[in-house]
Amino acid sequence: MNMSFRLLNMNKLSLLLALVILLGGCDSILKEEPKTFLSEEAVFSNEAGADAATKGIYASLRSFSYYDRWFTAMVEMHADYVNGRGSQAPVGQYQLNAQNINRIGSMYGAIYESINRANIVIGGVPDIDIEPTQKNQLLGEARFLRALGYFNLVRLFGGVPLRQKPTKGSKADLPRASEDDVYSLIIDDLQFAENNLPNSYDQSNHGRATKWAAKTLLANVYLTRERWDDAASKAKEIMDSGEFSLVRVSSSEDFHTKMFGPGVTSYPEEIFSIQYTQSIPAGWLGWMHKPGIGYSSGGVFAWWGELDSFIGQGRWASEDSPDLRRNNSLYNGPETAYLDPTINMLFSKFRGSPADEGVDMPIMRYAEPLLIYAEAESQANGGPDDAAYEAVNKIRRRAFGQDPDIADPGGADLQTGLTATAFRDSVLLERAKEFIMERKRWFDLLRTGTALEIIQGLGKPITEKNLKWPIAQEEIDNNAALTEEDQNPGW
Amino acid sequence: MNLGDKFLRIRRMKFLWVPLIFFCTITLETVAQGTQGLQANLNVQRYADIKAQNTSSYKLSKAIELKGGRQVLRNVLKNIADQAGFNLSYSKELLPLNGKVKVKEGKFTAYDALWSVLEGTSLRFGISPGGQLFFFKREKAKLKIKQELITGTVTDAISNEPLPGVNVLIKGTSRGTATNTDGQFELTVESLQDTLMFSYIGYQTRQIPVNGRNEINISLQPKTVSGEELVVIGYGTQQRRDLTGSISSVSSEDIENEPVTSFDNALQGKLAGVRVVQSNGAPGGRTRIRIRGQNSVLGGSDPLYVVDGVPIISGSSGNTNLLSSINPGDIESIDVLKDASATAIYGARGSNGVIIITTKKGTEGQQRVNFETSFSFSQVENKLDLMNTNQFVEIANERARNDGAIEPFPDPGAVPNVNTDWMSEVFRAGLKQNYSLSTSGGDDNTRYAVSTNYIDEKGTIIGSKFGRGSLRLNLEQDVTPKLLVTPSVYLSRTKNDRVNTEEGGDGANILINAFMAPPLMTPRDENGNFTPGTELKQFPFSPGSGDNPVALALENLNRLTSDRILGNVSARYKFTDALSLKVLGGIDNINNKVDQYTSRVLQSGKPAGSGSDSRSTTTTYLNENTINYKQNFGSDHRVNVTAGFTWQQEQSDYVNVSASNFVTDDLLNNNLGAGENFTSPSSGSSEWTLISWLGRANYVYKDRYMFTLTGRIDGSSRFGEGNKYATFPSAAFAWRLSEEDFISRIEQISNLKLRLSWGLSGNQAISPFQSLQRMTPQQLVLGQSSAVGFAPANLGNPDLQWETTEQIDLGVDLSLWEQRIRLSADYYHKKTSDLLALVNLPPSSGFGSILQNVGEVVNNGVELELGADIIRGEFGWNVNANISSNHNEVKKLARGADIIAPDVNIQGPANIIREGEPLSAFFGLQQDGLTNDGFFKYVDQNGDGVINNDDRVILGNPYPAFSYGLSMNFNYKGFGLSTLIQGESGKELWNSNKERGAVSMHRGYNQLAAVVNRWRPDNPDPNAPFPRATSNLNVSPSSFFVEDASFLRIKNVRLSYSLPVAKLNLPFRNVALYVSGQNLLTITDYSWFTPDVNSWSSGDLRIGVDRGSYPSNRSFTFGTQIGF
Repeated sequence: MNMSFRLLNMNKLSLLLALVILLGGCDSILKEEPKTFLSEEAVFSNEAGADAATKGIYASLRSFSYYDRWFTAMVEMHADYVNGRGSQAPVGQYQLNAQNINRIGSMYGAIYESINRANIVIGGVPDIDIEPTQKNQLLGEARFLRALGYFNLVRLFGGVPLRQKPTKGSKADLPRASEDDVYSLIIDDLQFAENNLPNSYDQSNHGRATKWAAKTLLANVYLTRERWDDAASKAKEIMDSGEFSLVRVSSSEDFHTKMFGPGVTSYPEEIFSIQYTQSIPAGWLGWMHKPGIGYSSGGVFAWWGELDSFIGQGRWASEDSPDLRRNNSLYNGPETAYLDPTINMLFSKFRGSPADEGVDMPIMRYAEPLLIYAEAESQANGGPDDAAYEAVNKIRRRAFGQDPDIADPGGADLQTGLTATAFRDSVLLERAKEFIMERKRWFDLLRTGTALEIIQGLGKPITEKNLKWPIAQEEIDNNAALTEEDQNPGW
Repeated sequence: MNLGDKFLRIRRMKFLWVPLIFFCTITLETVAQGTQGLQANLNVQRYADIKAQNTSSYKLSKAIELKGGRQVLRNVLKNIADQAGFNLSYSKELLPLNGKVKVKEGKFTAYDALWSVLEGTSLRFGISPGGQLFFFKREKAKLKIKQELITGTVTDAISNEPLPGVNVLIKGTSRGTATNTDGQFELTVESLQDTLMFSYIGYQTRQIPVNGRNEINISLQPKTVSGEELVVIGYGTQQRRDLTGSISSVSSEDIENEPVTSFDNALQGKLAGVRVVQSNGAPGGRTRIRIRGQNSVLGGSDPLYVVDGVPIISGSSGNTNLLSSINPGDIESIDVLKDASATAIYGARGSNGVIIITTKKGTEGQQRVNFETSFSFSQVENKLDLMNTNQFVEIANERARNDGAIEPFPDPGAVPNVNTDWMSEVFRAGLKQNYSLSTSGGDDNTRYAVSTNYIDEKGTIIGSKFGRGSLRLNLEQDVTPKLLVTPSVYLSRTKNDRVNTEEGGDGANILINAFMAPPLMTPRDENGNFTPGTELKQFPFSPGSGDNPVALALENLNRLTSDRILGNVSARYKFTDALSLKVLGGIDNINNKVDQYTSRVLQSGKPAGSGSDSRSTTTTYLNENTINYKQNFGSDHRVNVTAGFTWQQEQSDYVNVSASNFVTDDLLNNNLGAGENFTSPSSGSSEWTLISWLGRANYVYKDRYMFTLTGRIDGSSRFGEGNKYATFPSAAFAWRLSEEDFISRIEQISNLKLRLSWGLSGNQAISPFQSLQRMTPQQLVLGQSSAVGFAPANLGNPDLQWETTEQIDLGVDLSLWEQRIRLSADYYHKKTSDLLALVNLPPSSGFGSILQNVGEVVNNGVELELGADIIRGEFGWNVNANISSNHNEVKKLARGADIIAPDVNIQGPANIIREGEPLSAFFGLQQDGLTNDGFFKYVDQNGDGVINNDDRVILGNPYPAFSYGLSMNFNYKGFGLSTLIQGESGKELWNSNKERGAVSMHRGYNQLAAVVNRWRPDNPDPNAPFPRATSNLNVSPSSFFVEDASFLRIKNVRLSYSLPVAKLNLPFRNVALYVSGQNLLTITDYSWFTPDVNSWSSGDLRIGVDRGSYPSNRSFTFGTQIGF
């Protein structure tokens, strides 16, 4: 009697235990299925996800610490034509205080954030089942943007930790690579990009990197590395492609209405720009060129022109200059009433109104390969040939409101018979005026080795250490592969 | 000899393979001799939850059905016992048991049935204190010698209700009886000099010498700490004397004594080791509860709240305490699990302690209706005295002179004769109304409790308000004798109109703006329109931000409407008396709606108002399946094993829409389409899942040695991919020395127990999805239109896991003189490791930091709880006191680096997390009086001649060295007086308010009247308490803001009177009237409103900071309770 009683109960018990174990047996219950974001796996499960991750790299260019503010601000304020005000005043004097060193640090981090996003795509896309052309396009875009990041880093900081894989976990120690290693990755990436990126995109993808963007950047890299032949021939490829032409202007205002203003969505000269619209505006451009808001609250007059630099010299400064770029790029409008009356030159190239900030930020445009070609061709051959002259003269003629293709000897055209050195100086000056406020001048001063001479010539206390910015202190503190010894000299 | 047949219970046990050898030593005589032996042998632990301890008497009145005819007595008795739900115990040697008796057919109460069956036999029955039905022989022979009949009634000393089923025994014999359903008894004794012993479960046993009387009417005191009352532990209950862990309990009376809106407020000062800080005095406002100290930096240190088995959603929504949606009147008991032996059963959620709430259930046979209402009138405990117009004008002019500026009031005589006391403008008398109606009762099979509550509270700051309506239904249904089903539903809606007194910047904080407003201006103009903030700030010294504080309170709608559904259904099936299965399903659902509208009267509502509608839903689902095996093996071994599997999932989502620029303020936020500007809507969704296996084994040997082993395995979705499962074991041992001969000889000691426990518990501190690399949408532009890309928002950490707290507890429980003095002392040492922290990464990784488990915090302390029944009897006086001390220290941080808390909105941070210091210790410059010019003089700690951040030092501790509480209750006849005194000693507060209102008008705010006592050019006192009046003051976070905030508070005094309803022949069961006062007196040196506020919410590193916090209130409550 007792036995049967027992069996019954034991059966019930084991049933119960079985139930308990069964219920508990599913690990999948604990897998987190994100709802308001995607996991990395989900992103790289299909083409649309991979495409979104690639767009995520472009989005990083808009980071506050990257192009939208601190990268732009620091690079421009190191150039010879800008003076900072307020908290940025020490930068214009090359006496960086802790606050501005921190800004450089956050910029350094923002560029690496962009690089890491590129690395995620470069690491994730190959395993997805996509049509090869499409796959290579995404890889090409990622490698182009990674190259852009490293190119910015290596020019500002020298050799940096060279990360080629997405960061995983907390083990992130890596020593600084040599500049040569960094450049060789950049060139590698750009060569892949130029071979795999498309000629152009449909309207809805306008703003993504094309093969011409890759070639222009590569030409710039060669130029920086003083590989004159490579630079010239790469620039020539773009010039010969027939894809781009200079925008014709007949007044200063035409630069605004046809190229840089908020109403312009694209123009024949555009190679690669960061795109903005009124509803998704640019942090920096709105901040920098938004007339009508006082210095203290909006920071609109945070910079003012250094009149001892090229912007105050020669024909560019004179009111009757035929160079139409001047009055588009500089102004001393009524807002100066807010300011010290001795400050009479501000910047207006990317002006918009507070309600109208859809000004795109050009990273590369057709003027660049032309000027690269002119400089590199002359440097390669020990002096300018006609093609070199023609390239730079096209820019000058357009700047003077003329047809870029019709020669204007004695007018817009450069004086003939210049030496290689004189010709290069002319091209560099042309670059300075053409690309003012486009983050090129400081890099030109660096690569030509003229930064100290030119800026000291303005009476500013720049020293050798300003040529290689300080690596972020967080990098040295938290990267076990680095010590204080690895900091750039002087910092 | 087959001992298994000795007792029914033992026979049942046989199949459970337990060696029965221990029973050989039991002589049958011992058993037959009666109750004492039986009590010891057969201490049955029923499947009772708290209320069941009182049910044995009602079992006697339970209707049972008998079949007629001649039957074996033993079988009939067993039948009756089964139907009534008693466990049966008797000795086989009782010969009549095997005889046959004639049984009448029909329905009877168990009591009548027993009497009718036993009538012709020599047997009588009784109920043991353990709730068992036992039988003993009527000793006829002795009755012949002499018979004296004693009659009487036994009642409950508190309620005066008759107690049925009370054991009445003649001392030194086994003879006795039990009271009937009316509490009456009849007993024949040999001598009127005998002594009678009255015992009843849940009540204190009394010995009454007969002293020649023939009628003895006595009352029994419920046992408060007797060891037999059941304590709710995780996934079960246990008798207090069998506990090995550290658990403190609060009963419903303790909660009802204080007219609290939210039950957590009623815990303040009552329990050792449980620190309750009422973060603010707002109606429905937050509290901060820390059990045995602060464990965590990022992970949160709030305890887990469990209501009737369901871990509920707690915390706050904005400044509204989510616990305030629960009606405190529904709570039967609160048990606080403190040490690892108690909390380990809650595994990854146990390390901050567990607060278990049990709601009131119905009792069979007791049909009751209760109505209760109370009114509380409140005002702020203290108002601050601000400068009047004359003083204000004077300091404003002095400040200008000191700064070389033009005096703002060159002709003080011309200043309008207005003296607005802005404190009085923003405060008012508060009023709280509370109405509760409840009914409970039950019959044989069904017990119910229904309650409804409505509360309406107007806070002491204008515009603040809280309302709650609630409805509860608790049912218990015996579907069959083996199956008990318990459904429970709770519904509530709360509405909380919040005013800005917390966290927020200066611009909106009402109390900060009461300083901003100059006394020479009025809140409204003669037409009743609010004086615009811009006008209040018209002076050259006026601060840049701020608004009219009265308008801020009245013109800024911020209302949380919160609906809560909290329910569960459990089914318990008894396979045998020992083995049962319980399946529970629970749900907790909160729907929040926040209505926000800022009218155009306010500057932040310019130009034309702004409004929003935010809704969020959080729902937690729970399934629990536990089996329990509870068995005694002879008199020496008691085993109680619980094992189970649980699953819980919580889902939440929110959506928020907002608009601004409304044509009119009239529609508030009710039609956002009436706004001209819209911001993008935001929404989100989140989810977590927890699956767990748990087990606990209690073993008690000889009532002396108690062992508990607990383990829980938690699988949590929040943990990293590589760390989904965590195991939390604990072990505990307790030794009841009072059961040992060498102690039991000491008559004075009624209980002495040593407890020792060790265990691990966790903190599931990670928010959902933290371990994943979250790819979030990133906006960009392509082709002149918006495009979305995805990029990582963080660096995933697949190793992310729980924070682990290892705790050792050493405790002693001692009661003396029949439980008159009850003492409980504990020492604990808690080490929390794997603390969650953001660890910096090299920026070249592309990330600033990664969330990791590093760091260690230690809490150790002592707790003492003392209870004493100083006078028992008609006049009763008892005392409960507790004191605890906790020491908190950060042992390890990532790379040893300090973590500095965010700014407290003065010039910097007030708190730091540093190795070797308490979590969030105060930190800043050391002030050393004033300079000769009246500026703050700071100590140059490193002697480098510069005062800067490098000179910052630790300035104080936000946690008290001691917390204590003392409650006393006096009873005489119908009168009751209870008092609660509570305090904290040896702690500091960071009084950030001073930076606005007590820095000699540095920032242009009105000042405390005390600031007249400042440094002045005509009286340059470097020891003046307040500095020079200047806009250039060198204010830094410093010791100037750190104040001793020790306090002693008379928290509650309540005087009640129960009408003698029987004497007055009133148609009520009971009527009680009471008056009580809260926060009657607070003794403190703290200079602002309230010495135990906390402006920032629970997860913040800014601890112990007072910034414009809503002050606590003093209130007087008048109430009445009527029972039918």
